[in-house]
Amino acid sequence: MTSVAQIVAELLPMLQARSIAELEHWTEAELYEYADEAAQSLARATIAFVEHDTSTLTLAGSASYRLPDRYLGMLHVALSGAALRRAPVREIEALDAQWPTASGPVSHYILDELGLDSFRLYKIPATGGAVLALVYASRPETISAAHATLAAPSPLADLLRLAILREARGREGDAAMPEVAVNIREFERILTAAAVEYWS
Amino acid sequence: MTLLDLRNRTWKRLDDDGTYWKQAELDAALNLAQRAFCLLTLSIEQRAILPLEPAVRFYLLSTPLPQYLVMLRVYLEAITPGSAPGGSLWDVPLWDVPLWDEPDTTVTAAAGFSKLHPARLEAFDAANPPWPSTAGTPTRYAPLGVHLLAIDQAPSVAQTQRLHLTFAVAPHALVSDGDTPAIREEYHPALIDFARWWLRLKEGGQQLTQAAPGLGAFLSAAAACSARVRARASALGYDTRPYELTPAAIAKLVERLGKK
Repeated sequence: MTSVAQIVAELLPMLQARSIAELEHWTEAELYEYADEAAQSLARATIAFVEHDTSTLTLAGSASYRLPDRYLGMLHVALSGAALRRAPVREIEALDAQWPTASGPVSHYILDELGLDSFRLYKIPATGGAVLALVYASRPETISAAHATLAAPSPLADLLRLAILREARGREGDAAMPEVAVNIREFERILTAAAVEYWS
Repeated sequence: MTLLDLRNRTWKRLDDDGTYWKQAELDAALNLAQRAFCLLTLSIEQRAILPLEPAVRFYLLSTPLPQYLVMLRVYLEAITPGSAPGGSLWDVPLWDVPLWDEPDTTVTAAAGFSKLHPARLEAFDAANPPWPSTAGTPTRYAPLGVHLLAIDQAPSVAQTQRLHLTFAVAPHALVSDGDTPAIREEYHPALIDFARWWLRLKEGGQQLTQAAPGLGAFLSAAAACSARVRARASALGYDTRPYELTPAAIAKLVERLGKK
């Protein structure tokens, strides 16, 4: 767990301030916004944040279930200890023309049936209460002054440090230093490429 | 070099004595340099023993191993519990880390030692769809993100299997003047090179342009260390190699940043 609050505090001298109150061209909220954007971007570029969720239970007669909050991509689904196969709708259609109403043992899960917020099981489970174990890539929780931590090792969290300084100095205004933003972006690219290689 | 040495040398390079760049700024820059170096090279390794629990296939590593970065190798040791006195299942060798204060117990002999191979969860699913509920001897592991480790089978009896993990770690923070960086000493000057460039970001302009070679020197040292670690990782059969930095890419980067 890395403290984003500490990262912000350590960056203040680079922004010509000794404390949050002395920040002249940025607000504290703005700096945390930069950190949050970087964290979300990192999560999309890598598979660094993975959750194993066993809180979903099947409902008898219900095939569609809501994807978890902060879900990015599914890695694995298991029902009652057996892995389900992922299939797009067109394959299920080819397999079973009656698939929308077919009921019985569940063998597949479908991610492209309706929108981006739910997934569907094929077939419709006849009984409920079975554990749907989901392993999925996720986004980290929103970073703000009230929630100033990132569940990641410190070398990975340094990408947030770079992003805060890059965005702060890259923003147009009296404190803009575009050459600083360019320098940081070059170094950030290297660290991000390493992170993608390790966690993708 | 100690943190005090690194700090003083960095101040001298910047022609400062703490008037413009405070001690905290230098310490933050040197720590950032060390962390970035470790991320690029995976040069700091640790080992730990993870006892496998019945019916548990997903293990959260961040709590017992807070410095964990990337898994390098996993061995499985099968244990045969016995009644012979004197031996201890949890007798941890000097370089190993006990994870959960495991109590001592008796053991007769290790019954097997085998390497687990890395795989994705899709491979687990393809090889054995009921793997989430299958008991047996694991043959594959899947590192998932920065926190999770999955194995394709779990033991049915407790205290019969354990994993020997070898993994790259993040370095400890340099806090006191006497602290020494965890990376090898021949690379300590690279931390100063990085700090010179990082601290010039506060000024920008021509000062920053002239400091670009410092970043190049840091990346060159990281590339050299990374090449060394990669060669060693190949010889040891590690499952993960460090990121590869090429001298040409570093030279182009320095040229781009050094243009006025």
